[in-house]
Amino acid sequence: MTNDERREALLRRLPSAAPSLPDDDEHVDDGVLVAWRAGRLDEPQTASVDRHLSDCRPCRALALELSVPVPDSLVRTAVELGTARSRPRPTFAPYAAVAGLLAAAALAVVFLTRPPSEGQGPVQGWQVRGPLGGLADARSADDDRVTHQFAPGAILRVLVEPGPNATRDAEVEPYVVDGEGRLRAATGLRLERGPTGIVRLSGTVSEVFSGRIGSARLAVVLRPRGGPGLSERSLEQARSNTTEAQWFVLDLEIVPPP
Amino acid sequence: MLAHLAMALLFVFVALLGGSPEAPALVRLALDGNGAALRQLVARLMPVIRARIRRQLHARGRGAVGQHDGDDLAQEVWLTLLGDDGRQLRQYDPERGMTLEGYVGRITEREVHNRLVAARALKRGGDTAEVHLETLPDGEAADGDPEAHAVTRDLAAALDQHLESHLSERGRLVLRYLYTDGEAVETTARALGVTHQVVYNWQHRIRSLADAFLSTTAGAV
Repeated sequence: MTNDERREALLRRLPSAAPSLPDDDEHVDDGVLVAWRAGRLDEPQTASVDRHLSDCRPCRALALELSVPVPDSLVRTAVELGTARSRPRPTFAPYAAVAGLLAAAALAVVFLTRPPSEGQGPVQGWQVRGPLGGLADARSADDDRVTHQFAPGAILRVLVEPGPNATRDAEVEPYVVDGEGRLRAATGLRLERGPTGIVRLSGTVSEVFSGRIGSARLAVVLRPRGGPGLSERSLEQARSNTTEAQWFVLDLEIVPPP
Repeated sequence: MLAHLAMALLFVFVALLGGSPEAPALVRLALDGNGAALRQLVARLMPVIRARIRRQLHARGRGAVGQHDGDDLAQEVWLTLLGDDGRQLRQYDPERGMTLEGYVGRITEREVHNRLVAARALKRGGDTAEVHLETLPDGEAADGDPEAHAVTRDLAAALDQHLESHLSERGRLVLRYLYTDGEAVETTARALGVTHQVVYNWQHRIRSLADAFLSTTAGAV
């Protein structure tokens, strides 16, 4: 072992700093860490934060994670969710105004959705959020329909989330319902399962619906693993034959650009 | 004693940063439908929410967290904050001595902890064992020779004292990131918000100090 290697090995074995303080009150406030990273603290303040971080591994880890850039897609989705939650329910007039503005925009695609409908059966307790990723959305006062507008190349996202008592071992299958009401596997949707069991479906709008213009439907079914595929069956037939499944159906309408 | 003084100073900073009345006003505006305020709120809080989540995920599976892992959890926490007309966000009070980021960070920690524990319990049929950040191993290598291990440990402690007395606060922090945590120069630079060269300079200084110290204790390693 060379002297350099010995020195590096010894440095890696330096004793841990003082044990981390157990009470959250005695860790650095997140806002202070943000200001520290941005260089908004003066010299004594910066030195004080430096000292705490030297002695506190969790705070060092948090400072490091704060330096990881947040994806634009996450920020956009958070704003959309906030807009949908905070916006007062508009009347038909603003809905029409929004639709008019978007009709004027070249290559706009408008999705009309209804809240997902749920089936009954052994698989239960799941819910769907979405579609997410549109340019804007508005809720119509008369029939509770939500309008999502998407650019043709936008990423469509749907979150399938297990509730507290959800059937955990369920298989998530997304289907596009074709013009004849038959199910086609939604091969354009990518499926990812998160650490708490959330399933994220995402895909480019034009790929998911194969460039279709007009009315369309997306069906998400959760059912026990191992069942036969439902492609080629009609939506109604598939639903009536899978009473053990939980179904979510998103009604969509894709409007061609003027 | 010094640590307590440092923490007292930090609380003063929090009061300075968090005592501003603009944070509650921003929350109210955003929740009441002001789009610009909402975007500003998201830009301010989402980095904290995501950082808290990623830190917890790392603690449960070190090295296994990808670039986008935790983003769904971040959305869940965000929805929780927006729920019930943003009740939790509206409850933020700077008079309690926390910044808005610190307040949301704590909520995030609690929410994610509960969800991860619940998910694990369901997955493993009730096993709720978990790892705390505070008790993570520090990577001390096992050594087959107890005597050599003791000598190395003593030498490391002496070197630590030497570095402590010769490095500034910033130098000690770089030392912790690079050697205690095993982070790369690039990662350390990003965490500190400085250039790679600044970290390389500190690394050179640390190595020089260590070499000087070890030259006076030659043969001990």
